[in-house]
Amino acid sequence: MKTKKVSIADFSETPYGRTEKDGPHHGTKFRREHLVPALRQYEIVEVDLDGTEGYGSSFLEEAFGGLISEGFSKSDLKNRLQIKTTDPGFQMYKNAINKYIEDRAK
Amino acid sequence: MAKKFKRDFLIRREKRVHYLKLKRIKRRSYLRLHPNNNTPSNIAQCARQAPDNVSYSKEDQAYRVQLPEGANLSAGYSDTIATIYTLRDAGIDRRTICNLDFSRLQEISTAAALILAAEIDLWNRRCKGRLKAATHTWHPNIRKLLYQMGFFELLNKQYVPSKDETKTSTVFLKFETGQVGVTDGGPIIKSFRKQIENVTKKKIEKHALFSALSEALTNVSQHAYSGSNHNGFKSWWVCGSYNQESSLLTIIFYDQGIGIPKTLKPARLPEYLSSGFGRMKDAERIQAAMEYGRSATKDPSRGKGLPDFLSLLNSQNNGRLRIFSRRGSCLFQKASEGKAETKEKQNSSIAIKGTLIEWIIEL
Repeated sequence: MKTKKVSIADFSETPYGRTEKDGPHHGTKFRREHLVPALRQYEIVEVDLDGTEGYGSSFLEEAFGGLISEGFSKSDLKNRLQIKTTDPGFQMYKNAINKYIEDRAK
Repeated sequence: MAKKFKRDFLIRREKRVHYLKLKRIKRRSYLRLHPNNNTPSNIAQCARQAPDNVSYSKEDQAYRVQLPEGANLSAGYSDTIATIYTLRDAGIDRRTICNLDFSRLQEISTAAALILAAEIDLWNRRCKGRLKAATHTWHPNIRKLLYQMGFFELLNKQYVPSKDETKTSTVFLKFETGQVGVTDGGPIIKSFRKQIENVTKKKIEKHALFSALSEALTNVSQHAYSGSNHNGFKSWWVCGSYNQESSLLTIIFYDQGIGIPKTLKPARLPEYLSSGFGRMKDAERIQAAMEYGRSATKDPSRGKGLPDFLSLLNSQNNGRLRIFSRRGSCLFQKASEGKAETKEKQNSSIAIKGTLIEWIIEL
């Protein structure tokens, strides 16, 4: 099974915001330049949340919830998108991402 | 003879201009504090009844704006905000020179200091070099605190420690600032976190701080300055203070946008329609934004950010969050996971320009 590992920390240590209006490392950019190409080429995409300062809900909602707008279904993402973190403080982000995807899919 | 007459005429005219301008500033100040007293007969008296926080000095040919004894957003809210507006009004004319008189000031809160720093920062951008301050007249401890925050750099002054300074339990952090669409706020939040850790000598939950402040930044860029009168400066400021005795860390985020009450649209929820959302005051609108996570855009994918402000409270045992926006202020404390409980809300007659968010947490 072809797996791609994507680390958000490689994109930016301080990602935030939804669009370029908010800053240079925003959720739309991460989704379009990293997540969508990976999901189109690989069967499984592992996203590593570790290594950043943290996340705001706008960034996560735009980056991950926005995948529904890009044409991916909730079930497809559930099977192929894996969110990884070893930091206990980042566990809440994992739960938040799942919720954003579900909310967008409604 | 003719030349002397012309010179005298110009001097009298200049005095008249400054007299009228001072009267206008005082009248505006009075009306802000008494918004319902705007009948012609009252307006005629209001210059005499306005707060005594501005005067014109013929020797310096400058306006003197004086801060009250206590500058804060609690008991001294009205006087403090009225003085800030006076400073702003005095600076509308870019030729104005203004003296900041802090000689009466005995204590200043972190929030009041940041709002003042923001006004001075904007003043400098509009009319550089026209803001003066006799820093040697300031109380030594006030001078030390404001130096820590970065006032001396704003005023282009050298700081010389005074022998009369006593050791204070509160330390101010240097403020940071940025502009929407220009500054990458992420690295600024990271360096602010490091400043906090240097001063407090304690580790702070970095993800909680980043969640809260990055959402504040996102709200500013997405909503705060949309269509507002910001004179081209879409700025934000962040600072903090730490009290070594109580281990209380205060973090303040401030912008001068249109404010949360104005950015929110009425909800479709029946209980809000029946409660007459359109008549809700500013404090109630702030409460609604936090407790119901409603967005300015009505987009269901939005409106999840304001509760991020609670992440800092969630990461600590004790903490509270206060939001000032326009005429309203709300005090929140953590209720359950991701939810806020409103502890207090107030509406004032005088509006703060923009939105100020204050977190107070125990480290």
